[in-house]
Amino acid sequence: MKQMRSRFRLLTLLLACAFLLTVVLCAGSVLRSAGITLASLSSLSPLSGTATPDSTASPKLSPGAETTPAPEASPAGSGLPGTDISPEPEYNVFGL
Amino acid sequence: MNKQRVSARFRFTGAALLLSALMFLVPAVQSGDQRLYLLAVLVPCLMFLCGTLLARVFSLDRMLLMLSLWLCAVGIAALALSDPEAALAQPLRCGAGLAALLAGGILVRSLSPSLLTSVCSAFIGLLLLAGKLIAPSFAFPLEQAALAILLLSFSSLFARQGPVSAALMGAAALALLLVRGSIMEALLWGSVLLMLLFAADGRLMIVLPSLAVVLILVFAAFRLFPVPGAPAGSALPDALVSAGAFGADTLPEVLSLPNSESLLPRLAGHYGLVFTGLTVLLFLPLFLRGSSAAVYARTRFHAMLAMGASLLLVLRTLAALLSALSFLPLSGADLPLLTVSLPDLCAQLFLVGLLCGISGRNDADLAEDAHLAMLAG
Repeated sequence: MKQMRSRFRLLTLLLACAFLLTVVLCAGSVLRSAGITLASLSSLSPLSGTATPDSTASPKLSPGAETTPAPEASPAGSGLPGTDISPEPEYNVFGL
Repeated sequence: MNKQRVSARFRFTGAALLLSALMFLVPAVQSGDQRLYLLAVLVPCLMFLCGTLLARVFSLDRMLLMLSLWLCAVGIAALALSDPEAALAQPLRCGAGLAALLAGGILVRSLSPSLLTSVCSAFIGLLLLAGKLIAPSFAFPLEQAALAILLLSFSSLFARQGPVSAALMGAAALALLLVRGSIMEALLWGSVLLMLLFAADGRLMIVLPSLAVVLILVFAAFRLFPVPGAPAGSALPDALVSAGAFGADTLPEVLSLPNSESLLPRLAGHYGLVFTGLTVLLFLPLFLRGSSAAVYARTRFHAMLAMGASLLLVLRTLAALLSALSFLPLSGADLPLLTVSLPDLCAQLFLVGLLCGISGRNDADLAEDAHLAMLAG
């Protein structure tokens, strides 16, 4: 019985390591599919989760930012009240 | 010390119930679906009732029970957002599975390694595997149930008759699985057999011939029966990435596979990769608890049964993860307890029930030893 128990402990250890290795492997596969590598992870800025002005999701975060593109979209619309379209609030890519 | 254990257990149970309620409540508030509100009340209540009553009345291992209930709740949540009707049917399947868990927990306390146990369980297990060969129209998937019953026979034969008869019975089951074409189940069963033979006996004259038999059978099966590839596996990593770290509002089409019994893609699609990864990690404490029940079992029969059940669960988890991401060129493995297949869910909860029963028996033996020591002192 003692030898059996020690072999059980050995099997448990091996399988626990195999499990963790599998989880790491799967996580790495998913991250690789997303185009995220170790090199890109080390060069990530820490504020990538918040709404940054230079994020590619959307630049429209406040009505004040509309003053620059508005003349291009509607050249005669600077004085007309009907063209004041309030922008929809944009969410970040995580939907928070 | 007992008060500390009770308060830790209370906190663990409370946290599990709160998380399970939030898992349904947040989507219910977002979508306004009445069925999700019903699930937000039903699932935590059932978890609480089953987790406390069953553990107390039948002396089952509480941690294993709560982990299994939590995984069942996650399976219901995976269906809830995209298919609320199916999500309402899943608790019924889980209920049937809990009946199988109870049956396993009660059975393991009353069973002993007798010739009757060995012969009856071997006969039932081999008959379930041969059913498809005898009646080809019988398409009910009973491989996992058969393996659970055959594990009883293997442990009983090994404890009573020795390794040779147990290995022969195991090889017969392996051959039947390969002839049926269930390559994944055959690989899992073969691996469990070899590990149990190594752990319980360890003699090279037993382990090496068994390894040779398993390799020859698997090689012959691969030659005679070509293995179909995993059709959806190659696209799954990209599909999982599309779900994002915290899930998508609408399930990507490639993740809502209509004929798939696995709930892993749906879970990743709705709740994201972080939650899915944490859920997968819960299988590790399940395995560790099961193997600790095996190590502390008093008899060889219970030790092998507990270790075999733990190995079946953990190897199935590994196979499911590897085949989902195309590391294994095989299909057909679902994560344990995260499936809509009723026979498979019942078989897996039966294995958990065996573990709960053996762990409960170990605690009872320890308490009896402490009582005897107190009387002697």
